[in-house]
Amino acid sequence: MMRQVLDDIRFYASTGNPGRKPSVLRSLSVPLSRRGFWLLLGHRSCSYVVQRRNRCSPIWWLIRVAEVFIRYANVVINKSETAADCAIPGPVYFASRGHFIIGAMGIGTGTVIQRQVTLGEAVGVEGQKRPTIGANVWIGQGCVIAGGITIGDGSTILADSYVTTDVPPRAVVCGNPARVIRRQFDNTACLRNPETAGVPRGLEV
Amino acid sequence: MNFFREDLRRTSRGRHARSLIAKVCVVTRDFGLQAMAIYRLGRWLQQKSRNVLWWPLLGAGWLVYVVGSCYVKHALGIRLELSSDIGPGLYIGHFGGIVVRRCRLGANCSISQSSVIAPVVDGPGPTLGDRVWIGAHARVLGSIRVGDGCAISAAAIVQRDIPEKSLCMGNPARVVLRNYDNSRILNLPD
Repeated sequence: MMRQVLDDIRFYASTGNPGRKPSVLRSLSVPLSRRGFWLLLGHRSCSYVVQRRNRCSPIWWLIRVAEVFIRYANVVINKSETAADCAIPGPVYFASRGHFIIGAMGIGTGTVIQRQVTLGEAVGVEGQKRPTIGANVWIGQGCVIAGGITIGDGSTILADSYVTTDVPPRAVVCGNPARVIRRQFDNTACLRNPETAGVPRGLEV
Repeated sequence: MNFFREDLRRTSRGRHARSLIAKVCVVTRDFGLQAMAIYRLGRWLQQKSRNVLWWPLLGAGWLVYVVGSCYVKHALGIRLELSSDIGPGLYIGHFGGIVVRRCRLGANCSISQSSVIAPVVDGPGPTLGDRVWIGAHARVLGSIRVGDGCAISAAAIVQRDIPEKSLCMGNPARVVLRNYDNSRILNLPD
């Protein structure tokens, strides 16, 4: 878990100038300044505790109490909630302004999630399932991704779209309900600068 | 106060919350219920404040309301304003970005995270019937009327009247199904 957290710090520090090795000062400023990093750290520690549920030691109970406080801190600081069994193997960028309800099965490495995004199960459907997000996906502001669907690697989901069907890799999806508007779109440019939440370059009308 | 009992019953689905301790536990765990408690307190105080004789007694109550509403607004991101008229048994799923302002909600409604029920800039707000289910990120705007037993899907933007018992979704929202039974997604206690 420590290695994952170090990876996260390196990832958050390198946003804005990718490829280059981030300076020590920038890496040190990440745990203090990025609220998305706090959310990710809270999620990692909570899921670490939950995975080791069957330990019967008093230390574990102390950790459980700490976990409740971490969850509460996530609510107050980020207005967000994450499911503890959501698998996040690598670094994921969460925007600083919060309002996430993250209930996905798993989120791939290098995904950028802008603010006010809901990932979760569809309500009122038999056998409720949860979405799986691929690697290097760009999810715009105010998106809702619901149901047991798969978002392909490298796809782009524009702001305020409501996705309930599978998205192929490297596709651009937009609208409510969402449709594929372009295929084989290269979204590395918008992943490189996750702090800008606007329409990615190359998709302006 | 009776209204809040209905909210509590709705959230705990009538199962766990028998004793007082269990009820307190439910309120501490459920953030939507905390927001409802503060809103109900504010409405009760507003109702009592019409009588001048009550004023010296209500000062402490208003102090609790102001502190509590600040907590709910800034820590949880739920804005339930006193100008809205909410019926008994509202269920708030999750938290964050919820705005309920100058509108009228019937009994046993259900709203989710980031949903907005408010008037457009000025003028009267929407009127919702009983047992309306509103999904995540849905927006119900303007002086419209939503019938009883409607289900408004996630991320729908509703700006027209909606007949009762219909399912609507999309942007702008269209009625997709008529005579839709939303009792399963509402999760009402028996």
